[in-house]
Amino acid sequence: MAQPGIPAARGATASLQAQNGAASASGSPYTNGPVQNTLMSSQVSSSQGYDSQLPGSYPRPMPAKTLDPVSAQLNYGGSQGSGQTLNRPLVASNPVPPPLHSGPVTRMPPPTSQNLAATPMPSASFLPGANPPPPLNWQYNYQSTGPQTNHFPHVAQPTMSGNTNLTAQHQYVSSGDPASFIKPGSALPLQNPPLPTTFQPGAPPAGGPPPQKAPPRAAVFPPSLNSTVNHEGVTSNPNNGSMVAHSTYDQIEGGGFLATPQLINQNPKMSRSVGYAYPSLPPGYQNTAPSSSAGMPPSSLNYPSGPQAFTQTSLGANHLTASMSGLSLHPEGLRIVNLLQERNMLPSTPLRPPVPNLHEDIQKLNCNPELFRCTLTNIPQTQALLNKAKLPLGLLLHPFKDLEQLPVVTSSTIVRCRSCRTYINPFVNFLDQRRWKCNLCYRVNDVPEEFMYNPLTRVYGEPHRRPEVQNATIEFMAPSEYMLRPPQPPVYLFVFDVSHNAIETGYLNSVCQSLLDNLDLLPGNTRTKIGFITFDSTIHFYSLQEGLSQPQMLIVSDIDDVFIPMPENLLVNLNESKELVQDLLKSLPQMFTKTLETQSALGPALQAAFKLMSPTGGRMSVFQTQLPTLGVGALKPREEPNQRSSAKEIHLTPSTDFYKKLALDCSGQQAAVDLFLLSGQYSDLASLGCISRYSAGSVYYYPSYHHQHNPVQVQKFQKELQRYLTRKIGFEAVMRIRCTKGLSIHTFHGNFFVRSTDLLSLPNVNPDAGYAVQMSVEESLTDTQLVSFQSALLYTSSKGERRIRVHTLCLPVVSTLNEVFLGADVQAISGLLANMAVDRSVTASLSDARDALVNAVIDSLSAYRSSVLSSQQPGLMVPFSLRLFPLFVLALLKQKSFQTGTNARLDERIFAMCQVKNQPLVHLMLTTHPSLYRVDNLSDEGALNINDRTIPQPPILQLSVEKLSRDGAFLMDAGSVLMLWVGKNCAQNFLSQVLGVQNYASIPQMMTNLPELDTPESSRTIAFISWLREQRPFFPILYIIREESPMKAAFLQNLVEDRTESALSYYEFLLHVQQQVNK
Amino acid sequence: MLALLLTAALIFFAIWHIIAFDELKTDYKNPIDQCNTLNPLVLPEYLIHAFFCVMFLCAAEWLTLGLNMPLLAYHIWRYMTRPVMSGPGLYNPTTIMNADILAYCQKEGWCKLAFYLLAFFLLPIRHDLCFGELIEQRRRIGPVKCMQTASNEGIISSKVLFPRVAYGI
Repeated sequence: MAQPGIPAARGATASLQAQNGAASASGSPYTNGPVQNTLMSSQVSSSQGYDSQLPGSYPRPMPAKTLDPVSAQLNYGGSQGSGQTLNRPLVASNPVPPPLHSGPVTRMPPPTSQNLAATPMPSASFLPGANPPPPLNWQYNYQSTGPQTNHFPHVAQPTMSGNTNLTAQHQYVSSGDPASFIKPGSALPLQNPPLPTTFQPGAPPAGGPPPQKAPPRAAVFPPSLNSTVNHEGVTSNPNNGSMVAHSTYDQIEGGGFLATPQLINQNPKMSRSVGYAYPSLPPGYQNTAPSSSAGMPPSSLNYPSGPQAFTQTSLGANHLTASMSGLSLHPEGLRIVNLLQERNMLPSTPLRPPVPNLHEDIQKLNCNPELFRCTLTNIPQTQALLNKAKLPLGLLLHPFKDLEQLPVVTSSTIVRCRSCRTYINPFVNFLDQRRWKCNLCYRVNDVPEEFMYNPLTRVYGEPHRRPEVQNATIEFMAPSEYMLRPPQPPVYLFVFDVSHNAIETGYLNSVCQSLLDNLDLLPGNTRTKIGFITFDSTIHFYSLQEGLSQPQMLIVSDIDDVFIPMPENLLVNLNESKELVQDLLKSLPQMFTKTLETQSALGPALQAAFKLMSPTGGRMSVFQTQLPTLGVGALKPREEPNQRSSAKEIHLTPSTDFYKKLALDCSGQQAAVDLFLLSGQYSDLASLGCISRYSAGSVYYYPSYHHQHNPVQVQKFQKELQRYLTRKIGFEAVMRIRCTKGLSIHTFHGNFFVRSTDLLSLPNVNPDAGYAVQMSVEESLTDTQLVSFQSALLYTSSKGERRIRVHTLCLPVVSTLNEVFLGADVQAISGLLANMAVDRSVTASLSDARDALVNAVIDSLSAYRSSVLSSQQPGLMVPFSLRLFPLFVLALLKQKSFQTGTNARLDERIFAMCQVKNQPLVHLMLTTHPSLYRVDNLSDEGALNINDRTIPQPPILQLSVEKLSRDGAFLMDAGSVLMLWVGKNCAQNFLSQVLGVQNYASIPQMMTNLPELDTPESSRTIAFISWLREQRPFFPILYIIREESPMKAAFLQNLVEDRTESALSYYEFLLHVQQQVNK
Repeated sequence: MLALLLTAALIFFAIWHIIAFDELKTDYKNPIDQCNTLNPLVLPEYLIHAFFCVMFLCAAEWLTLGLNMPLLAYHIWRYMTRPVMSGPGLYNPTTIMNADILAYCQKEGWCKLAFYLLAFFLLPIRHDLCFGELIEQRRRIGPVKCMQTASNEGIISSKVLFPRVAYGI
């Protein structure tokens, strides 16, 4: 490549500088050392790639992701850094030296000193050098630096566990000298020694992240040299997910954010890399803990890390110092909050998950919290400690989320631990090039020959640079060992209720129309099969055999003993019979318009559908509009409207196990049932829902659906149906969750069947489903400093490929109660508690569940008060990380699932519970604690820019009437519904420019759409609302509410901080909690 | 003699349960299959125990009856609060894998085993007292024989069955 040449020219100088910069910048490699690094890394970690941030820092604004050839090189660097992360801890001290070059290097001086020196050192020395070279490569540089640094560490330290610093240089060497690659160890020494000093100056002290960044980039250059080798592979990866040259590396889905940087990784030169395992956590990790506390903004985290880095040399000592420094630096996270005195705890931007207190290098590789998140980012060492904290330990997963980029690996051997079958992941330790130690069971495994070759870089002998070791989220193409049978074709079966009641609602039109429109968009391939069944008191099948001139309807009236007439023609190949299918969809809505049949034989229809599906498995979509009344599975109305208020006598449990048993049968045959319930009356969702719950389907509920009387509901139904039909789908899936020895899985929450202690059977998996897992600490974790969780989802894609999607999460272990509290993730805790409360409602009673929620707050805060706070101050003292805990629990108590009062219909409550169990955390939190924005004064300040659209980002307000004002307009985003409340004295400007009405009185009573006006205010508002809608798989209806609107009650109900007829206000709730805590 | 056989059957049920739950815990069996094999055994066990209680009642054996009443009450409560099921039985394949429920069932199995074993050894003695007058001579020799068979069976069963449990773990 062209680049190589250039870089080479710059050669030594550039490389040196680069390294310096890199050292500091890369942070990760040296992690410990340079403060700057930490900053950098921290930022990076929070976001996904380093890129974005780095560019900013430089004077020259390079686009983060340039695709230039050069950039490719950069990527390498980046990748390297990530790859090596593991090792880094050790390295930390080294950072600087490498850049300087080769000289003779001895091992680094005391690491701490070096670091300090390095950091403080003015960038000047480096910068000059760095800058010149960088320009060409900018982008490269930063990435590259990272990696390089990593390399170095590896090399140098191979032997050394403690100080790897020197190693960093190796890479350079390697780049420079081919030989170095081969013999990392030898090369290293040379380079390392001199460098340190110089670098350091370059790196500015912790203070300015940006400056620091710059140096790193400079460092990059050297990498570029190396990169030459790798370039091709690398380049493709970062930028274009799909492009990768190597066959092995498919980026079908694009690299995940995480993935990208990592992909880049290929350090050509690294030979040794693995040398040490970072396993033994550097003291730094632990230290950071305080800083990491939940609420902290990323930046804060960084600081702490900085201090740590310095100290790192001695593990034990560092600890203390680091933590101390962390404290002083970051009071915010460690702060103890008196909730009774500080009212405005709700941040005005969306709450971010806490960053685990890990070494930057490890954290950088960690799984995205949207996919995989733990309620406690500091895992307590023992069950006793966990019990003391009274906080639930668990995971929240969104394993099949649509990702923009996801690295996909095709390899004939998938490297897994031989004893626990864990997939190789970024958190394993390479003992040397040939052996790796499992991070879950600690078994030492051999690295297979094939794994030694890195397809991305085309370099042999770098197992630690493989994408599997660089990405916490990765997908494997599974070979035939992972198949019990040939991958099934995508099979879609639609079961429609066509009784009189169903025809009345007019839903059939919408569904058939949607299906017609999306027939070509159904995920699938040439093998896709489709079939239809309709039922009222009898069951109707449709023969779509190729060659028929029109679909043929077959009626089975014997619902007591259902059989399948001509089974081979009922599920047909979509491509071959497309015209017949289209014919059928066009004529279906008209076929039953005159039906007088009011009975519904859902049970027998499901049995028939099951029989039809059982040879292949697939997806059944059932549309039901009333209580099933005929045949097996017939249900009786159980709801007594006047008893809604009493929490005791409500029927949350199924009245029959027919649906559950059928669901288990379906699950066994790899068929999932998705239930669409469109019903005005009580339909006993508690019983019907089992059919989806245990077959891993999903439930959709449209109360009072009617094509004429309820047009808003129709719009919502159509949008969601479209998403449903076209979203990704995985068939015949199983998901296994593994965790480090000592932890064990207690309970699963979600829609699936639990087949063994850690295995979920998911006949279908969809990207909108979330899962929760309760964990317990079975054995003491005192010997370990890190624990890992790995979820592996094996599924058949709609293209007929067997794939495994693996997510790995790594978290630190702590031994004190205070640290456990500091690492609490309040959103995840609330989400897990909600799941547990649903179970409790079903097994015990709703009031029990409500009490349990309140007790969860009281118990944990009492534990905090009695065990952590030394002095007993008055008020309600909570750790900063849990400052929103009482608020979220109060919001849960007022959520539809758990609220008391007469306004929740039983089916709606049960649907809300289904959603709690099946939704990913983000959406659950939104429905629990809606976001309130003021929208009558939207401005472009702080706005997001996405694809040329400007999306205003108004601050989030507290959910209290006191935040409302009559002269404003407020938008409440409650997940599945949006409510725009317009104050009586709202500015005329807003009324006319956004709502398009003359005055307040002319706002229609039932307004559900904003007119598209040609005004900046209107476009801002619409951009904001559509942006909110795009972020979720369901379609929230927008209600515009004025003083007298019927929806106003719902709006006020969602203001959870206020008092309602049956529930406490936030302040009253706090007083109650305080009273109990202080007992 | 019949009583002893029945007690042995109860012991067998208890051990069977313990093994079954252990197999579940170690992923040895599919919960659906396991529940299908366990559920039909629940009612017979409860009925046998209820039969004992009735017999004690008939024999006016108040002390023994008193000892057995708590278990009888527990059985009744347990069956009343069983999940919604169409067939007989207690165990629900969808909830059985919950760690709490699994641990509870295992603990229940061990407690019952202990209780039945105790009953097994005490029975011959009590038996002698309560039925002795009704059925005369045979009993005279019976207790000794019974004790022997009892201990034999006990040893055999523990040797045969316990290793399996340990193996499962």
